[in-house]
This record gives sequence, structure tokens and C-alpha cells, in this order.
Amino acid sequence: MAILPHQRKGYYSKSQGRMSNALLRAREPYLKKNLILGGFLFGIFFGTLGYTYKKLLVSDEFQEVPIPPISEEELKLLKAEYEASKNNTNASSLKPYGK
Amino acid sequence: MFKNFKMITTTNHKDIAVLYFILATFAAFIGTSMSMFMRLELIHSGSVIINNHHLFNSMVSAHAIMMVFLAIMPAIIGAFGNYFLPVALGAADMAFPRLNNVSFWFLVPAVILISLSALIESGAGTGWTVYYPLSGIMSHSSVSVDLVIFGLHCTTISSLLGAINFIATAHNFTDSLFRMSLFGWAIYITAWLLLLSLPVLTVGITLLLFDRNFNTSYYEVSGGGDPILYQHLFWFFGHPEVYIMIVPAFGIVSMVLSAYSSKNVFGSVSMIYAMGSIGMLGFIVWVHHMFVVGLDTDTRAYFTSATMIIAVPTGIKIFSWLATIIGGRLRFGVPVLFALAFLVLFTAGGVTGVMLSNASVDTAFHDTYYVVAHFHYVLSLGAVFGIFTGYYYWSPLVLGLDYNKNLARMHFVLLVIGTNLTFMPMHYLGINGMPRRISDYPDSYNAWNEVATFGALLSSLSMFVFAVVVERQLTDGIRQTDQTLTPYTFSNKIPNGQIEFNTTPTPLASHMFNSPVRFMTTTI
Repeated sequence: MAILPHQRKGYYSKSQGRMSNALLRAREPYLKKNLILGGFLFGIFFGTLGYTYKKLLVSDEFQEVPIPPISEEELKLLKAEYEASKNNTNASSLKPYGK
Repeated sequence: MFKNFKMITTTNHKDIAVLYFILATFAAFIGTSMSMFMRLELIHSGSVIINNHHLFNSMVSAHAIMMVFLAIMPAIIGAFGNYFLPVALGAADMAFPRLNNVSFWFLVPAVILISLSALIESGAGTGWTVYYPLSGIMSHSSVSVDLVIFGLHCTTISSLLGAINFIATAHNFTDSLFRMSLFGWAIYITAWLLLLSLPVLTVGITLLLFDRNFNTSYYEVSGGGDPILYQHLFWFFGHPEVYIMIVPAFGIVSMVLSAYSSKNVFGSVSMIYAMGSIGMLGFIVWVHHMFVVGLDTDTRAYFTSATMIIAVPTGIKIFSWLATIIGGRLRFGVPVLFALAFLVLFTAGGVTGVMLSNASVDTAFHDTYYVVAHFHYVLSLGAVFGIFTGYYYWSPLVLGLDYNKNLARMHFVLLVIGTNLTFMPMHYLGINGMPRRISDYPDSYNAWNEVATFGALLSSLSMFVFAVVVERQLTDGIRQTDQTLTPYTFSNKIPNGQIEFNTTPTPLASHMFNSPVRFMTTTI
């Protein structure tokens, strides 16, 4: 039924459609140039990908948030408060902060 | 025993181009059938055939992804680009033939994954944009969205390998890029757009995958993430993607109008610069897709202005095509009919695009059917008409068989009427505020929706006519023994079915290939 005309592909093997030796020889002068340019183009892709990830999605480490200086006395007080609240099983310790 | 694997293992750019076209046709029929379900649901207000609103949304997603990544791109870039770029350059094949094969076969799992995403569990009702938090694990707990992401990864790998191949072929197999035809330039520019935009999409959807499955919070607000970031990453790819689909159609239309007007393209160098400008501008306007996320006035003013500037190179192209026709002896062959329809309808889509580029107008039109009408005029009536232009222009050359002209004209008439009846009323619905991606609407929108659905039925009928055209062409087509092409295509005279190696310079004439010289006997 199908009447597709026979397409002559003299540079591809008829059985598997692979490149013939003639075609491989014809392509050989371009091999190095192709590989160099292909590598460069892959580099552009991965470079853009890396730039997008590193520069635009940089993790915020809160370095710009100022931390107020705290004295040793205040630190001891806070630690004592924390220990007290941890040991205290009284429900009053569950009161919201500041009340 | 390996004979049966020939089409799987082939590295011949023409075989691979045909494979691309077969896959694109398959995906286009899936995508079209989904759009028919959506249009039938929307024929009246209330539930008509789809009672599940989420299923409607899943069809919206699958339709868009199928059409964009698996129908239009494989057909217009994969098929036409692979077949004709080496021919246009006079090259033996693509620069990386094996990579070309891999590039195609990555699309097959993509079709499977995207289809599966719509079929399993409740489907991905996210749209093709896969916006967070709608695509997040809290909103879409099913694996469907993950399959969409994997499918997009597969299409990305495929397009990336293809783009690298096109650029390397164009650079290494010609002395000067300016010797390329306009179609060659269109594919070359498209390949650069793909190469530069795809990595950003890859980052965007990969991080989305991490947010969904690995408890990261790149986009999750409660973890310090920013969902708007996803929109920026997506549209930095998404807007060039529009040009990736339409620029090859520019090339095809240029070739056809030139050939059928029997004269060179008017201002062919300015056409090349116009395509390049459109490509470059495409990278700096992405925020016009997200005007309503809450941007400051200066940002909106910039993106409005930058977007409007795209109308300049586009106008250059439109007027150059008109100038090509005027003064020539235009023959109204089937490809020209499609090309002329492309001119008119793409211009209509462009005009509504200028309206939408205005941030203040877009605030009213955002997420309405006006946007749907706009991008279907540009893509469905632009890129798809470009594909049909290319098919009717080049298929006798590719297949060696001519098609039935009357059937093809019938296909054209039905498609033009059908698509315009479908998408023109969407402008009126959009202006009146009908929201997109919702399967129900107030009764007042009934009339135009009925017209649109009737148009969709006509369009699908035209697809069946096209199937008959192809079937008759393949089984009963008039054999083209010695088709003569004009100098405005690729070669003076190209016998059908054996157009490889018949333009210089590769393989070099002095090369010692051991095949018969008959391939070289019909050169310019």
C-alpha cells in the first residue's frame, strides 16, 4: 500500500542505518572543532545553572542581623531562668511569656 | 536481527527529524483531545461532562505541557530544524549525530511521564507554570506533580542537547553564518534562547522537587522561602520559551513567502537582526507575566516599556514580509495560504500582546480569558500555522510524494474558521472578566462560550482532514520524481528523497568517499 519512494542514503548502512566509513571519514576533519564548541556550549549551560543557584538562591545566614552584646551577669540570669523553668513542672510555668 | 532497531539507533538527521514529527503528531492529538474535553465542559455553565473541577485543572496542565514541550517544539525545532539545518548549510549531518539520537529519545519518557501525571491519582492541577504553593506538597500531595517535574527535566535535557547540536552545526559547517537561509538563522537563534533559558528552568523545578520531597524551603514561606522567587525563575525561562516556539515559524514563513513571491526576502539582514533583537529582548521582559504579584511602580514601568519595545522588531518582520509579497508574483499555493493566515493572525495576537504589556491594563486582564485568547493567537494560530506552512511546503520534498491540494485547502479553511471561532470570542469573555482555569462560569457568558466550543469542534474536524491529507499522501500520493525548487529555497534543483550532500561544502568535493557520485550530480 505504502508507496514511499526508496530514499537513497548512501552514507548510512542499510541494515542498521549507522554511519558508513565514508561518512565517518568525511566528518573526521570537524571532530575536534565540534568537540571544543560542544564542550564550550555545555559549559555555558552548567555555568548559567551554577550562577543561578549560587547567586540568586544564596542562603540567608542572618549575618546582617545585629546581635546585641550581652554581659556575663545577664547570661547567668537567663541560664538560671531557663533551668528553673525546665525543672518546674508547675502549670504556671507554661504561661505565655510576659504574663 | 538488528534491522528492526534501525529507527531506534539511527544517527541520520533526516530519520531523527521524521521521528520527531511522528512524536509531535502523537502528542498534538493527545493535547488536542484534552482541549476538546475542556471546551465541551465549557459549552454551558454548570457541570456538563466533567463533574470534577480538579480533573478540569489537570487537563489544563496536561494540554499546555503536551502542546508546548511535546508537540510544537519537537515539530518546529526538532523535525524541521533537524531535517533542514544541515541541508541549508550543505552539511553532511548534525555536528553530534549520536547526541541527536539521544536528544530525541529523551522525549519519549517525557510523553509517558506527562501522560501518567494526568492519569494517576488526581492529576496535577497546577497549570503548566507549576506555581508554588499550589504545586507544594500541602496542595498537591500526589506524585503527579513530581511526574510533571521529571517530565520537564526530560524535555529540558532533550532541548539542551538539541540546542548545542544546532549551534555547533551552524558554526562548524559553514564559512559564514550569513550564508545561512533565514530558516537556518531562526533555528540558530532559537538554539541560543534554549541554551540560555533552560538552566534557569532546571534550577526552578529542581528546587521545587526538593521543597516537595526533601523538606527544603526555597519557596516555602514558613521556612523563610519565597514563592515569588519560583515565578521569577519560571518566567525567566517562560518568556523566551514563547519566542523559542515562534521564531522558527518566522523562518519558515520567510522562506515560503520568498519562494512563492519569486523574489528575495525584503531586507533579509534586517530580518536576522529583528529575530536576534526579539530573542535578546525576550530575556529582559519576563516580569510582565507577574505584574499582579505586588511590584513597585518603577519595576512595572520598566517591564511595561521593555515589553512594548518588542513590537518594534516584530513590526519590522511583519512589514518586511508584506514588502516581500508586494512587487512579487505571489502564487497562492497551500503553504502561502497558511503563511498569509499566519501574518494576519499573528499580528492580531501581537496587538493584544501590546495591550497586555501595559501593567495597569494587565491588572484588569490578568488571569482572564483575554490572556488565553492572546497567547493562543500567537501560538495556536502562529506557531501551529507555521508548522502547517512548513509541512505543506517541505513534505513533498521529504516524502517524495505530493499531497492532495483540494483536501489541503479544505484543511486550511476549516482550521482558519475553527480557530478564529474558538479564540476570538475569548477576547470578549476576557474583557467581561471571565476567569481562566475555572470550569464553571455565570450564565451571562454562555453565548460566546457556545461559539468557542463550536469553533473547537470545527478545529478538531480540520485535524481529521489533515490526517486524511497525510494518509492519502503516504498511500496514494503523486510521486515527485524531479521537483524543481527555486533559488530562494536551498538549491536550484533537488531530486526528491536524496537531498543530502547536494549542496557544498561538506563533505568536501575533493573528499575520497567511496560512494557513487550520483549524489553530487545535481548540485547547483
